[in-house]
Amino acid sequence: MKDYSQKDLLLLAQRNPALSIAIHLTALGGEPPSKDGYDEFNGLVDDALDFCIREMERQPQLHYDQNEDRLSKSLISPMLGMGFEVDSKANGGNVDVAIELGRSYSWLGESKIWDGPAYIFEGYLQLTTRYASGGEYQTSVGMITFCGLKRSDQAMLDWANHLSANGKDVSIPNMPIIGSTGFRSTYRSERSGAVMSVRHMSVSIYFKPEDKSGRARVSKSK
Amino acid sequence: MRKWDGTPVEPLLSALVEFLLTLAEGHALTFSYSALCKAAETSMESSTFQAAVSVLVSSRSLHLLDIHYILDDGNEEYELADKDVAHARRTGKLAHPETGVVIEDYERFVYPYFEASNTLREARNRA
Repeated sequence: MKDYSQKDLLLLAQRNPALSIAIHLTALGGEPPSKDGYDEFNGLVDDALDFCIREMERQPQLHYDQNEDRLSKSLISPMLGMGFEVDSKANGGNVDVAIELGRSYSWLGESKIWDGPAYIFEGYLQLTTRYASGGEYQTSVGMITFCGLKRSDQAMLDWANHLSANGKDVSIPNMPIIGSTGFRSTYRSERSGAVMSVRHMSVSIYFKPEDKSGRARVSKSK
Repeated sequence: MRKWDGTPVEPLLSALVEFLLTLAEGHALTFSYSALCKAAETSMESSTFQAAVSVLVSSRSLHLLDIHYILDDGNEEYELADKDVAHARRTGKLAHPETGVVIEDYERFVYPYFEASNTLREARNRA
């Protein structure tokens, strides 16, 4: 029964982020729920999302003309091979992205294509006042902004300023955010009173090549 | 399985579920990583295999395995309590279950293994 030690597993995972996440999820999934365990789960979700965002941003030509539902599904598809239970329901009555581990831990995300900060704010209100329960081990959520324009960092700065000025009970610990492609905020759940943590992240799907074949490709797809 | 249909993890998950449900009566219901890997006809480096194992350990709908750990200190083997392993994973420190001495680089001496969950045992009894 004794074959791979914990050390062997960690060494296997060293150069493969997806493998590393899956191995850690297996260990975490076998533990009883705890505050420390939920923190670890959120760290693994962050790592997985970073991986998914990098993958998507590597090939904007596949995504720049897609709608919100398809973008959400494309973003999280690598997570389905990491051991999370992931749903991208993306319809009117459900949150866009739900990531779970076992019976206890969950992370919810709302995704929007950048159309100015007021539009993102609507998604934020949906997420924070409709979907997020604020229950135990359900206090981490995220806003995913797909940015088809130049300078996704500028869009995130606009969004951070808008949220700071208009969000109810919102705190953004590291304002002002300079050159940001993402930031975190907190608010207090009206349902449970828990302090909720929101990760705001941008995914750049800007694709406007200026070389001849690139221009032809973009105009062909329109 | 329906939840996993069409996902990258589905083929390996199906192979493992089939293996676990059709083991001959009297077969031990504890499994090493290697045994599961062999049953799924894949390699330990496959992240999809590790993901399938993770699903079997933690999923709401397909929780067929529990994970446990053995400490081999070179002389004897000790079954570790889940909470002690959880503590060690967070802090990097594991106390020897008998002597209480903190084990340096404990991950070298700790071996995970898997055991049939109640759900799997019930499913096998029904079959």
